[in-house]
Amino acid sequence: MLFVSLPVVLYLFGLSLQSAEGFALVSSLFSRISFKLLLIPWIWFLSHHLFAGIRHLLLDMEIGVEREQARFSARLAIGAGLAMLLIAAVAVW
Amino acid sequence: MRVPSGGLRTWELQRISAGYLALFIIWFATHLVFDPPSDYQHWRAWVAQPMVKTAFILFFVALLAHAWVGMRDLFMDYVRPVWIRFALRLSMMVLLLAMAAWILQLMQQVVPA
Repeated sequence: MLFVSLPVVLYLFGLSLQSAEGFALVSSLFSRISFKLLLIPWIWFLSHHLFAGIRHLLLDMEIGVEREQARFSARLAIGAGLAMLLIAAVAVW
Repeated sequence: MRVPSGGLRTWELQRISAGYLALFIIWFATHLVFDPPSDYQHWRAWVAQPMVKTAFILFFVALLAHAWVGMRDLFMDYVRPVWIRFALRLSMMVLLLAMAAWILQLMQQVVPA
């Protein structure tokens, strides 16, 4: 899903830098309900990926490789992602 | 230059790019939340600053590399028929290269006023 969103994110980034009209258009998207409904889960996917990624980097450094700790950090990563979903939902809405 | 295709090289690439992406995203998201660009001029001038622009270019390089390894691993692990896997990897490469050219063109235009 994040991979699929790449061209869209790039397109919007480019548009916002190309002209004042482009910037205005991208800015106006943030007040549209349809865009918010895509943005909120997108922030969640990205946060989940980020937290799970940090967990994997720590595991690679042999931090928290014990089964109990690994289970706890897995739940922590999922929980942190969900917390970001909540924050994103409140902030974006 | 030979593209690193050995397992360990891509594994390293995935993790180094991940580290940079994480730092960049946290920094950029913090900037957007606490100091959102008020208008086009400010936004463009901010991105055009040499340090910021360099950070963005590095971000896109890391992002495309990270996406390349991630999708490649996904195809290798979950797509069994060889020809479908090959077709997917080829389309992904074309897409990534197109995005790289696009970014290059875009970032060249973003210069301080």
